[in-house]
Amino acid sequence: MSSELEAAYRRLLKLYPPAYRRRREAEMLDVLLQSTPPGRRRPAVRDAADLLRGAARAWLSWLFVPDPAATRDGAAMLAIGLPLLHTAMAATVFARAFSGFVRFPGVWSMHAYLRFAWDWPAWLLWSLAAGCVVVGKARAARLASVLALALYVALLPQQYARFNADILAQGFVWIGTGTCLVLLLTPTRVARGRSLIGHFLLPALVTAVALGATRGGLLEGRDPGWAFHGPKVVLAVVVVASLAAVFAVRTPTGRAVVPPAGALAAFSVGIRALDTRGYGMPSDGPGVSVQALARLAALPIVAFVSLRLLVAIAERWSGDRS
Amino acid sequence: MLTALAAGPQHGYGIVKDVEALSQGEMTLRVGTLYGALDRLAADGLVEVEREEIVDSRLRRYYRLTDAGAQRLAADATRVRRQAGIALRRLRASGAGA
Repeated sequence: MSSELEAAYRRLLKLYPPAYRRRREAEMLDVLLQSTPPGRRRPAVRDAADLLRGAARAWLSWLFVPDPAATRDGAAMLAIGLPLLHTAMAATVFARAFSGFVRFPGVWSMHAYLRFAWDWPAWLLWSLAAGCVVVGKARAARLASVLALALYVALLPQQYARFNADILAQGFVWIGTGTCLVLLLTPTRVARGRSLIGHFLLPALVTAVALGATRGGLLEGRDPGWAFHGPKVVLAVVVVASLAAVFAVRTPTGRAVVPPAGALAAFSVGIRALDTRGYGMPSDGPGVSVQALARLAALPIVAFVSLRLLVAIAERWSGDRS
Repeated sequence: MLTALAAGPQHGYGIVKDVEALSQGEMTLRVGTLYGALDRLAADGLVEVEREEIVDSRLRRYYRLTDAGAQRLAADATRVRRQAGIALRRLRASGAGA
């Protein structure tokens, strides 16, 4: 077998990602040389084209298909993390009710507020789901989150009729995260997530409740979230996602979590960017343009792809992936 | 490829030759395609590396079917046989078959 042919095959195999080459190059070269008829000095065009296609597929896989074990751990982390996010929001809803009760005693009607805050039964169920996750009752957590989601979906259209499209748009964020929660909350994932961050789970739950309650109580009316509009929203997403990514990409699990979590965060904050016409009535129309909806749809995709590229580069640096 | 591994562990070149023989020369498995498929089958837990050998200073890796791979192959073979049986019965019934 000519060394010229071997050198040509080696040049083609250099097109594969470095990690892939470390794992497969010697083996592939052996098969290539065995498969080639004697006397040939250059690779056949079909073989070269097949290797080019294989290299392209390997690069795409390297970029967008994380390590299966890390993906499993990442899903387990999200199964633990999303209930905490919902608990923080639940704490905000209930803290708003109590802060009004404290600030305006005698005037404030808790009954009226809870009618206004139409979605509180769903938040109560989502809090229950988080509590079940903390004590390791995955099936109960899933049941509570299914009921919460069903309730939220059932109640949201009535609110659209009462208020406006912005309520509906923001509701889609919680429908999105609630759906993810239902899909993620399996006994295996919850058990794995608890084994990964079990020690931090209770402090994390307390922190989530405290942050949510602060937002709904002390910061009510001064919520810094309302200050982000327009391009600042995108800026905030990029800054927060980048900071989170820088810390998280040090581990394979973090690299699996960052892109989907970043995409979810981008969508959540992007919804806020749609709130450009204030709280009009349904007769004002949907309040958002087709272009704005297209931008909203593109935002999580752009965030996912950008973050996946970022973690792929971090992966290359760390050399964790074989 | 699962059929090629059904008789026992094979290395990459062995799979290529076996697939060619099984298809009576109609299918040539090229190396880029072979390893792309092996990656996917391994990721699905259908095949695994059995052992590695160094032959003439080159790495040779042998693959085998996992239990899940054998079950998948058996299920696929049963399905194909059932469909082929239906096709043959219908052809015979219509008088078009042998």
